[in-house]
Amino acid sequence: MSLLVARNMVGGYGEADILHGVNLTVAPGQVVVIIGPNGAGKSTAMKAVAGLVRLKPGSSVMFDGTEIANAPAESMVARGLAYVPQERNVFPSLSVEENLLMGAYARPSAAKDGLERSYAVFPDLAAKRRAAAGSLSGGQRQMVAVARALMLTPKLIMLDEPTAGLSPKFCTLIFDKVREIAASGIAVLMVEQNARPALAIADRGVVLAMGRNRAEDTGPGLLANPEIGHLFLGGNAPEEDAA
Amino acid sequence: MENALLYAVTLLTLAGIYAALTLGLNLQWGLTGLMNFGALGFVAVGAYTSALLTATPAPGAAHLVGPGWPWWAAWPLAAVAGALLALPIGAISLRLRADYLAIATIGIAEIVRLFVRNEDWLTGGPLGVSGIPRPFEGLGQPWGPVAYLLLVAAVVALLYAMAEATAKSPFGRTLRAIRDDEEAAKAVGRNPASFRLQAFVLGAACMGLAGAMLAHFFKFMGPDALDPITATFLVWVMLIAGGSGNNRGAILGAVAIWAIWAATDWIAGQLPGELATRAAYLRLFLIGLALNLILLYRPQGLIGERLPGAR
Amino acid sequence: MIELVNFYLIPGLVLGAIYALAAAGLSLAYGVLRFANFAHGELMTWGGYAALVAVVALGISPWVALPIAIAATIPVALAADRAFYAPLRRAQPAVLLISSFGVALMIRAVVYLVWGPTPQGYARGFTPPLVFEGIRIQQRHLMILAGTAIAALLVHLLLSRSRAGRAMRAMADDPDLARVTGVPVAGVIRLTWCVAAALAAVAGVFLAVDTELTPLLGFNVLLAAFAAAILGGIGRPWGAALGGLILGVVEELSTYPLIGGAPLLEPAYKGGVAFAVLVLVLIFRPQGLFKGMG
Repeated sequence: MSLLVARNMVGGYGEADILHGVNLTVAPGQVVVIIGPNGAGKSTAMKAVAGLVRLKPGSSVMFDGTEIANAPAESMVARGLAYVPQERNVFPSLSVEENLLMGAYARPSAAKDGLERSYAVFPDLAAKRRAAAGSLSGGQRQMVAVARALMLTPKLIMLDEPTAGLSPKFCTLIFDKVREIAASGIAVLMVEQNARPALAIADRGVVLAMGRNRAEDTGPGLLANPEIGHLFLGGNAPEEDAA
Repeated sequence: MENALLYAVTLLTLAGIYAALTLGLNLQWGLTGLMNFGALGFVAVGAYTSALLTATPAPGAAHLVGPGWPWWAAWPLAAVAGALLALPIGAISLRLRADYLAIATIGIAEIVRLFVRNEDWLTGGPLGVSGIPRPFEGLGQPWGPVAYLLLVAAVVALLYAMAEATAKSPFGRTLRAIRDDEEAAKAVGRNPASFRLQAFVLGAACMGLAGAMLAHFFKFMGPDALDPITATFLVWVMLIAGGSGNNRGAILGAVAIWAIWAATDWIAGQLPGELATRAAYLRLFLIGLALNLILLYRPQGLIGERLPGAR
Repeated sequence: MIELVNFYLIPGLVLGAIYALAAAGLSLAYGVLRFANFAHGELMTWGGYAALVAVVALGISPWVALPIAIAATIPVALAADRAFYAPLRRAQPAVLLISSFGVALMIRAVVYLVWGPTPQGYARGFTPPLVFEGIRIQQRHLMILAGTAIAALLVHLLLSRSRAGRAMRAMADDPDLARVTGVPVAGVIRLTWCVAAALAAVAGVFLAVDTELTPLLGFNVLLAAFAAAILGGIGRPWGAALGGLILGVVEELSTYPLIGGAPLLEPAYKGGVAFAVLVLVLIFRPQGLFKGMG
C-alpha cells in the first residue's frame, strides 16, 4: 500500500513542459530521494505534487487513496501533505514561533501539541522562539521550515534541497533529522544535490533526467550502480561530493 | 455647413493634440512600463512655457511679460520644459519600485498646480495668460483653423515617425527588454535606470509639446484650463484602448476615444441644465468602467503590440 | 509657545492621525495584495458620505455613525476586488494599479451623482474647546485622536495576536509560501480589504469632521497617505501610521512663523509638503524609516 503514487506527470510553467512523464512512489514512513542533473525536473516534479505546477490531462497523483492532481496548493496541508520549498521557506518578518504556528493554520487546535513536538525535535528553536525568522542563519531557517511543515504531523513531508548552501555540520544534522522524522512514521520525499549522503539514508532513490525517470533502486543500490555513479554522482568519488 | 466644418476641425485638432500626449505616454508606459499619472503637470509646464514666450500681454495682465517670440521658436522650448520637469523626479524615483514613480508623478501634477495658481508674477495666477497667438489665424475662417489642424497633424506625424524609429532602434529594444525582464537586461550589461530615465524624459517632452499646442489652440492658459480628468485620465484610457506599446494604437486610441468623448459631450449639452451636469459625472463613471473593462477583456487594446521578430 | 501648541502642534497631530489611518489601510492592502490602491482615497470619501446619510437620516452624531460608514465601505472594496482586481491577480502590479485608478473614477462619479459637488458638513452645534493650562483643544479633535488610538490598537491586536492577522502578515511576507502552508489566500485577501476599507472609512469620517465633505475629500489626501506609507516603509501599517503622524505635524509646522513673523512656507504651498517629504524619503531612505511589520 503506497502513500503517494504519481503516474505519468506531464507539465511545466507556461507553454514549455518540463516534466515528460515522471513517476514517483512513496510508501508510509519511507525516505525517498530524487536525484539528477540540473534541469532534470526534480524540483518541478515535487512542486507538481504540491499543486504549484499545472499538470496536463493524463497525469495522476494519488495521495492516501485520493486523486490530488492540480488540487489547490493551499488544500494540501489539510490532506497531510507538507511541502518545504528550497528558498524563501520562512516568513522573515514573523517570529520563529509565529512561523511554526502558521504550520498549524489549517487546524489551530493542534497548534499547542505541534509547538511542543517541534521544540522537542529542534531544541535550538525553543531558545529563538521570539526572534524574527529573517534574522536566523541559513541552517536555522531550514530547521524552522521543516518544523513548520511537521506542525500538523503530515503523512508525507516533501523537502526541496534541504541542505543547499548549508555547512557540513548542518547537512549532517538535517539528514539525522530526516531519519528521525521517518522513524516516527512520516514519509519523506526529498530532492537532493548532496546525492551521496542523501542516498545513504534513503530507502529508495529515483534518478530523473530530461523530465523522465532514468533509474530507480534502493539507496545503497543506486550508490553501488557504476553507471549512475559515473553519470550522476560525479565519478566514483567516495563521498561528500556535490554532484 | 461652415459650422459643421469648424466643429470637425476643432474635434480633429484636439484629437491630434491628444495623439501627441498619448504617444508620449506610450513611450513611458507602453514601451518602458513607466506609470505616469501626472501628465497634467507636464502638459501645464509646456503650455505655460510656450504661452509666456509668445503672448502679447493684455493691458493689466499680471503675468511675466515675455519676449513675444513666434510659435515655432517657443514650441521646442515647451518640449524642453516638459523634459526638464521630468528629469529630477525621474532620476529620484526610477531607481526604485515602479509604483513609486506613479505616486511621485501625482505629486508633480499637484506641485505644478499649486505653483501655477500661486506665482502670480510669473503665471498670472488665477487670471492666467491670455493673448497667446494661434498660428495661421491671419488666414481667417475657415482656413486658419484648417491650417492649424494641418500643423498639429504634421507635429503628430513627426512625433509618430520619431516614436517608431525609437521603438525599432536598439534603444527601443533595450527598453522593451527592461520592461519585460529587468534581471535579464541587467545581466547583459544594461543599466535599466538610465534607459528608463531617457524614456521618461522623452515622453515628458512630447507632453510638454502637446501642452504648447493646446495653449495656442485655446489662445489662453490658466489654472482651470486644464483638468486632470481630461489631461491625465482620459489619456490613459486612450492608450490602453488603442493598444499600449503600439504607436499606431496610441494615435488610433486618441482619435477614437476623443470622438466618443466629444460625442457624449455634445449629447450631454443637449440635455436640460441639471441633467447635463449629471451626464458629466456619468461620463466620469464610464471612463473608469471602460478602463477596467478593457484591462479585463481586451488588455492588448484595439491594436496589440506588434513586436519586431517572433517571440 | 502655547500658540505653537494650540495652533500648530494639535492641528498637526489631528491631521497626522487622519493621515495615519489612511496610510495604514493603504499600506496593509499594499502589503498583502502588492499593488498601490489608487482607489483608497475614494473609499475614504465613500465612508464620509455614508456617515452623512446616517447622520441626516437618524439624527445621530458622526461618531455614532462610524460603524455604519464602515459597514457601507467594506462592500464597495469587496465588490471592486471581486469584479476588477481578482481577475487581474496574476497580472503585473502596474495593471492592478491602473485598474484601481479606474475604480477610483467610478466611485468618485457615483459620489458626484448621488451627493453633488457642493461641500457638505455633519451639522453640529458649537462646542466650546476644552482648556487645560492654556492648552486649548477642540472636542472633535480630542475625539479624532482618541478614535485613532483605538483603531491603531485594534489593528495592532489583529495583526500581532490573531490567527487571521498572522496570516495577513505571512501573505505580505511571501504569498506563495503562505499558500503552501495552507493559508486560504482568497479569504485572507477578503479580510484585508475589510480592514483596509474600515480604516479608510474611519479616516474619511474623521477628515470630514475636521474639514468638510467634498467628492474629492479622500483623493486630496491620497498623496499624503502614500507619502506617509512610504515614509513608514510601505507594506507596514504600523510604520505607515507613524509616518502619517510625522507628516501631519510637519505639514502644520511648515507654516509656523519661526523667523521674524514670516511663515516658514507660504500656507498656499502646504499641500506640497507631502510631496517634498515623499521626494526626500525617496532620495534618502526609500525603504522607509522603520523596520518590521506590526
